[in-house]
Amino acid sequence: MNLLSRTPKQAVEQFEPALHEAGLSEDISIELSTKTPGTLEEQYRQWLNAGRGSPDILTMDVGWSIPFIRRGQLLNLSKALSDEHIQTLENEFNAESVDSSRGRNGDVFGVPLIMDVRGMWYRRDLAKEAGYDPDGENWGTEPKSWKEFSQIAAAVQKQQGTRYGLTMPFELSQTVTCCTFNSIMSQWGGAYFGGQDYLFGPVGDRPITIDEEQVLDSLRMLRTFMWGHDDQHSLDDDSFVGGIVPSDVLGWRYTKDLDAFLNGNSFAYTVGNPAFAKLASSESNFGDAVSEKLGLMPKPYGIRETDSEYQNIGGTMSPLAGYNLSVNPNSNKQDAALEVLRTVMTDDFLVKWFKLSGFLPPKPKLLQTKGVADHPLFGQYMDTFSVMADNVIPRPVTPIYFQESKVISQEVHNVVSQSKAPETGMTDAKKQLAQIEESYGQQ
Amino acid sequence: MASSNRTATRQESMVPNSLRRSGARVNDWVENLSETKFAYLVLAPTLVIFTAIALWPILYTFQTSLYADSFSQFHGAFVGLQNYVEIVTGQRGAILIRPFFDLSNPFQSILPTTIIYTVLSVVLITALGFVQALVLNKTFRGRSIVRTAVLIPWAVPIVIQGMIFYLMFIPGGFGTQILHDLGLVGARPLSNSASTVGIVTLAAIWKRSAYVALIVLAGLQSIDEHLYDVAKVAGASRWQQFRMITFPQAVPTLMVAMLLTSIGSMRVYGQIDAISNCSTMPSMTCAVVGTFNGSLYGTASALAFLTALLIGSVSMIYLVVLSRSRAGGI
Repeated sequence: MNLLSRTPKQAVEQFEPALHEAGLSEDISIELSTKTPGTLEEQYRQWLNAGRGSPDILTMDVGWSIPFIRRGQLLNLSKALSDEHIQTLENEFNAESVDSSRGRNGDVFGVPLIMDVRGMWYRRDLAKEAGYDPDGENWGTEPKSWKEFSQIAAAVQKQQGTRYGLTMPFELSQTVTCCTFNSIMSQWGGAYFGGQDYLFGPVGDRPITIDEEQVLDSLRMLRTFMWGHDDQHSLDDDSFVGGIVPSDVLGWRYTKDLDAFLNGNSFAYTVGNPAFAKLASSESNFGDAVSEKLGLMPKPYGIRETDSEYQNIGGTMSPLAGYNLSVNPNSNKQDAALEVLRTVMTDDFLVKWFKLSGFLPPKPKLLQTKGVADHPLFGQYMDTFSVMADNVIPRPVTPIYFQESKVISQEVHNVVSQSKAPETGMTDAKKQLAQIEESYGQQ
Repeated sequence: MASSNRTATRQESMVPNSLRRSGARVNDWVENLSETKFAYLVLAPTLVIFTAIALWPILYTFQTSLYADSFSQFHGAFVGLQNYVEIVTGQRGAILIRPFFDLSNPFQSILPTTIIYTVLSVVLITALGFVQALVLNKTFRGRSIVRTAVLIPWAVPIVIQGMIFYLMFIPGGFGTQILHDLGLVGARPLSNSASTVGIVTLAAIWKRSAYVALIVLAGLQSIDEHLYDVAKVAGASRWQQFRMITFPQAVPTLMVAMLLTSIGSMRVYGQIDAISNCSTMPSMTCAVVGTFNGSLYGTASALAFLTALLIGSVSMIYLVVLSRSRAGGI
């Protein structure tokens, strides 16, 4: 997916002027490439393997950088930027976004441009009509448990007659591994590879914990939500209300899932970012009433973080997405490229870019500044985004992530779609992950 | 005029006699060539260029396949044929996500799935394309409109076609409901390997049968009408005319169509990716792209070379059969 294909046209047009306004030298001009024949990642692989000198700057998804770094195909910014700038990256930017562009020795290879954290969008108007008080109960900043959330979703679904309580993209694809399941599993205190310390390796020398009880509980919850308590592998606890998620989501990609929420068929929707809010406010969806209709809460939790075995896992957790900017080491305009990166790091530019594009700035402190919080549409959600930014869970990217994510997506999908029992599916996943880790652990 | 003749004579006199004699010998040799040999001679430079262009990527792929996968550089250590051995013997099952060759679970294993899809699609596409060609070969009112209508699916871009079939077969989709009511697929057909193969085959038939129809139609229209006149005089029924004239005369064209369809089916990727994300239908090409995307260039190259070998072998079989049929052997 090309980042620019999802960016409002006006923001793309104003990217360069915004950089100049933030202090970029007028001598430096920027040409944004918006056309790629395949996915951007494939295109980068071809360009960088071939040693091409252009483009000078690459927008890298937080889930892509590490294999390129391992092959020496991105410029080492820890050596190219000043200590002052590296300190700014280390201290002021979202730590997980920066970590997604680190080499094995800790050097940084990317400057975050967008931090995409995701809360739970819900229909505030329907919740109020059903007798709840989202504002009075601080739904925007105090995470609910999944148990409580399921009860609310079921009650609204029943009283307001929405078709679904909650939708989420669960099609058999890598979205399951990176995002939908990664966050739900983490909210239950589970992890693929033994917690945050092992997200980015070392391959072949890290625990594989996908078959642990916390992970199984998250799967049991999903089966409860989709199939109800008649499912023999649902949660024992009847206070989790079943049947709030349609099993159809097992074949739904993002758009189908989003449509169900925007069309008013669902009470809540688990993915989305500020750019999505822009879509929701369009005339064909919630229009002028978007502020009253659209609520945002932190993702619910399965267990509290204090009850979790792993550090920084458990409680509310958001999957981390977003883009970092890296420099092509073959570029013959490296000085200009680095100047662009230094300008991107300024607060002025990041706030301006947020206002233009709707993508969250990767400096968490900016979420509470006046320039961002005053935004007429997004401002009211910034407290929630701050909570989510403090509780992100990146995907476990290593050079073999592509293979491992396919295994995880497949087995998780097998379990949730009732093809396998949770224990069987996760034991199978563990065996396959162990084989992959063993095969490539020596490199 | 006189001046130019003198110049020419002076230039000729500057060419050594030995060179002039060898030039004359080449001229004589060319003059004595048969027409066929002369044609080959004229085509030779083009053939050399085309061969080089076609062979270079294949040889480079083969070279890459002889090196181990590496995450820190493009080529790892030289390992000879080890990548091939490990793929074929199933030792790369975890890396390929699916077994390469496992007959106990054919729809979830790479080579059997590719072969099943190829056979199914070739048979059905050729049969339907042949029927379409027979219909289009008849003169009837609105034939040009029907021809255009038949060609529309062929013109639809693969990604669009993939999305159409994806939306038809997601849970609750139009196609899912019909086939589920008939008991042919489950509620989530794209989550099941066997039904995904069926759906991708259906998509292939929808798109590519028109192309086959066009090829076969060209063959049918080249059949000598006198053969039918003679058959009619001899009292042959329509079925006998079809059996004794139309079908045998169409066989070479059908073989060409089957060859092209087979090649297309063995290297199909876009349709599978768009419909099933390459998740439930593990074809050879999905395995190539999957390993390539995982930066496993040695494994990806070995798989790509195996795919090229498979396509080359099948093509050779077709070409041998085709040449025999043209020689009257079958």
